[in-house]
Formats: sequence, C-alpha cells, structure tokens
Amino acid sequence: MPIHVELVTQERKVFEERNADMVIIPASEGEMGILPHHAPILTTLTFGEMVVRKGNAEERFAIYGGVVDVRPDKVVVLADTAESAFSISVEAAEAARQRASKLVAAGGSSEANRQATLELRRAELALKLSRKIASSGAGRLRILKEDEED
Amino acid sequence: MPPLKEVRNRIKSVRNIAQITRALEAVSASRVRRAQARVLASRAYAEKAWEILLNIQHASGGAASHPLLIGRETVNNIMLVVITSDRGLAGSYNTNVLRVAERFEERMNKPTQWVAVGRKGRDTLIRSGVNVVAEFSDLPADPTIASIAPIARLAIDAYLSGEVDEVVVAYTDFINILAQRPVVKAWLPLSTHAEANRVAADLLKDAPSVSEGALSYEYEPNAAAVLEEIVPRFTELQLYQAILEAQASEHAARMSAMRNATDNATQLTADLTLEYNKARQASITSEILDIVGGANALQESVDKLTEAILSGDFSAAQVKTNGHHAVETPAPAPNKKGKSKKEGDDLTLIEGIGPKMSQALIAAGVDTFAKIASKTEDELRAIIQAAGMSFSPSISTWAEQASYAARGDWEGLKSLQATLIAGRRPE
Repeated sequence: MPIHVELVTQERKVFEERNADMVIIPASEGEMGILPHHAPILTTLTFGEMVVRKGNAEERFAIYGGVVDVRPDKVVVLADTAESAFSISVEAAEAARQRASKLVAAGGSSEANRQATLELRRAELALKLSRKIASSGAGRLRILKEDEED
Repeated sequence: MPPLKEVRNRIKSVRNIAQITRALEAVSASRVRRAQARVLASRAYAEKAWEILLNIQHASGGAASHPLLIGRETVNNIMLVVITSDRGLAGSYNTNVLRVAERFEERMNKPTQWVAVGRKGRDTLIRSGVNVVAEFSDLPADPTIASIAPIARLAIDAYLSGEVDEVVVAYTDFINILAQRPVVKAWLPLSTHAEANRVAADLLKDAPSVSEGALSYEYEPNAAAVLEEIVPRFTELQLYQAILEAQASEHAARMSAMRNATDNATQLTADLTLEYNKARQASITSEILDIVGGANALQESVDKLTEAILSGDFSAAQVKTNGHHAVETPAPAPNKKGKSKKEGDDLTLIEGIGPKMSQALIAAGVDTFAKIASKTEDELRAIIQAAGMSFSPSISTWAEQASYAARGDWEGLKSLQATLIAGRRPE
C-alpha cells in the first residue's frame, strides 16, 4: 500500500504525491522514517529536511517547523514554511544567513532577537541542504512533480 | 433639441468613462482569479488543521486544551473585525458587509469593540460614531500570513487578556464570480459560539464540518505541544482566509459594478448618438429646405427668362427675383427713347437696320417707323445706296416690320421677327 503524502503551508499546497513508498520527516523528537501502515501519530516538526521516496526517485524539502498528521495510508505535513530543496538558491541563502547573523549580533528587543534567530536557523538549514544537493550532483532523480512557485 | 456640439461632447465624455470602467473591469477580472486561487491554496491547511484540532479535543476528552479553544461562560464584550476594501467603485460591496456587521452587533446587544480592516469601512464606522479600537488599511494585494499577523495579534491579545470574550469577523464570502455573501464568522474562541448562534444564526457562516477522526493518535512529544503548535497558526489562518475571501469578493463586486457601468455607458452612448443624429438630420433637412426653396425661386426666374428669350419678349424677361438675383437683360425697352434720337423712333429695333443704316435713314429724313412703312423697297434701297452703303438683304422686310412698330404692335413685330432669318423671310 502506497502512502498519500501532502505538504501544505498556510498559504498554499506545496506538494502532493499519492503513491510514495517512504517519507522521512524532521520530527521534534528526531527524524522519523514513515512506511505504510504506520500507527496514527501527531507530532510537531523541527527545522529539517523532509524526503519523499518513490521507487528510486526522491523529492527533498526544507521544512521550517510545523505539525505532521501520520495515518496508516496518509501523511499530511502542515509546515510553517517549506520549500523544495532543489529550488533553494545558495547565493540567496548565504545572503539571508549573513543578514540574519548581523541582526542576531545587533541584539534588539527579545521579540526581534527571537525572529532574527529563527531567520538565521532557516538560512542555515537552507544553506546546508542546498550544499548537500550540490555535492550529491547527478546522483539524484527528480521525477516527482512539484509546485515551482515561491 | 440641444446643440449638436453639446451632444457631441457628452458622447465623448461618456465614451471615456466607458473606456475607464472597461479597463477596471478587466483588471478586477484578473485579480478575482488570483485571489480565488489563493483562497483555494490556503484551504488545504485550514481543513487539515481544523480536523486535527477536533481530533485532539475528541481524543483527549477535553483534557488537552488551549486558551484560544475554550469558550467563556458569559460573553460580556465582543470584538467585531470588519473587512472592507480600501478603494471604492465596487458597487454595494462595502455597504453590504457593514450592514451585516451592524445587524449582528444589534442582535448581540453587547459592548462592542470595532476593528476596521480597509479604509472604506473605517470611514463609515468612524462617521457612525461606534467604538473603533483599531484600523488596518493598505493590505497588500497579495497578502501573506505575515502581512495579516498584526491584526490577528491584536485580536488574540484582546481575547487572551479577557478584554473581550468573543471575536467575530464580518467579511464577504466569495461564492462565485457573480455571487458574494456578506457573513459573520465566529473566530475566537475556536469552539462553538452558543450565543451568536442563537441570536444571529442567519448571519453566521457555517463552521467547517469535518469528520471527527475515530483514530486514536499518539502525540509526540505530547498533545499540548501539538496544540500549541497548531492553534495559533490555525487562528491566524482563519483571519487570513476571511481576508482572501473578502479580497476575491471585492474584485468580483468591482468587476460586476464596472461591467454594469460599461453597459450603461454603452447604452447612454447609443441614446446620445441617436439624439445627435436626429439633431444633425434636422439641421441638414432645414438646410436642404433652404437650398431647395432658393433653387426653386431661382429656377422660376430662369424659366421665365428662358421663356422670354425664346419668345423674344424682353419686357417679360426683366424679372426681379425676390432680391436674390436681378436678372438683367441687355435688351433695351422698345419704347425707351435713345438720348441721341429724341425726335425719331429707334430704327435699330427693325431687324436688319444697324446704327449706321439708322443714321443714314435719319439723315434722309426717314426717322420714324411710319415713314419707313410708307417707303417702298426701292426707295429705301436708294437712300441706303445714296449714303454710300451696300445693299442689305433684309431691306425687303423693313417696311413690313416698321408698319408693326409704327402701330405700336410690339407683339406683332416680335412674332414677325421670330419668323425672319437675318431680317429676311426664309425661302
């Protein structure tokens, strides 16, 4: 039995695949690999990489927090923000990281500082994932469709 | 009938208006589609989140909860968020949603804090003197969760602090491109709003219905953590969706308003064009009448003149045409005496007698028509030859012509002359 995977954010549906073989999610308690017939579980997500495998192809996403609803035949990821790891621009991520680290260094109100720290974590994750993809080179296969927006 | 120029100017200005409204309609049409797509895009998360919330509440038997989920026993104060547009030209879009909001407030009959989203609503609310605690305008055309977060923050803070016990959102639900329905959505708390349901159920938007999962979930790290993660997001999303729906409705309302305006302008242009053409036709007709009248008068005098010329009656040819043109005939009046011939008749009236002949005849004492009539052809010929002039072939008819002239029978002379060719009887 395949898994029906949905990745949605508040603003849009990022990705949907009805026939995935395996899903790896960055749960707050550690990475979880989900195969069909998984026990129902609701868990929060941390910043990390989500991988959807189908056959020998895989799709990767950067997930920046959220919740996941796991059922035996379905995985619904409600992400705060998410983007395809393949569409991350290394330059943009690096620029964002530098901007955020400056803000963190500058301090400011606790709320502003919290925002800046989050921003920094996101930029670092994006950078990490984009480098990983770049170094893996031609080894990857992208056969799954995804929404190119954002 | 108004002056032509005035009608023309009106047609021009109405056409310009039609052009503008048509452009606005096209812009709104494309925006409706985009706003609609955004509503649909965010619906997936909302449905899922709502489902999860219900599941958690169901599974925990009410044990796991979140302040935003718990309704209060008594509702003392309410907050009413009204979503309107920043700009007008959207027909009755803003009026409708404001009316629904006001009706809801009346039914609830509780102290109300108003939050205006959109300039139009703000202006109306402030004018009507209600308690407007905050206003948000200039939302981006393509709003994100981040751009509406301040509004959500304000409402959530007011609710959590106990300042208000219920928050509702009045906005316009986008049903389809032709139909939008102003509704009130119970927002905070996220559970049921018993009182609002009781007094104003017809104004309320139905809560999303999802199957309460029969699944028994495991929670990781625990139910409260999952709720903590999902409730604020879901709360924001409720408002975000209301704003997206409102924006889609606004563009749809503007589109139909502008379509109506364009249709009206087209109709008005047609009416004015008809009026313009009528006025133009009337002026052309009157001009033609003028010309025809003038031409008829002219034709009459020309006809008379032609007739006169053909019949040789120059007296009749001297026709004055009502001051238009005086048709002057070169022929002198037959009875008018020449200045140099005071005593005698004007002998040149006889065909064949020129000024020289006439002088020769007068010199010979023949200075009246009667005298010519009394002379024979030979006598006349002798006078001409004596004067050293050559014989005139018309001489044979001189006496006859002169006899008419002598009698004063000009008509007779004329008809005789009409039969002569160069003064001679035709062979």
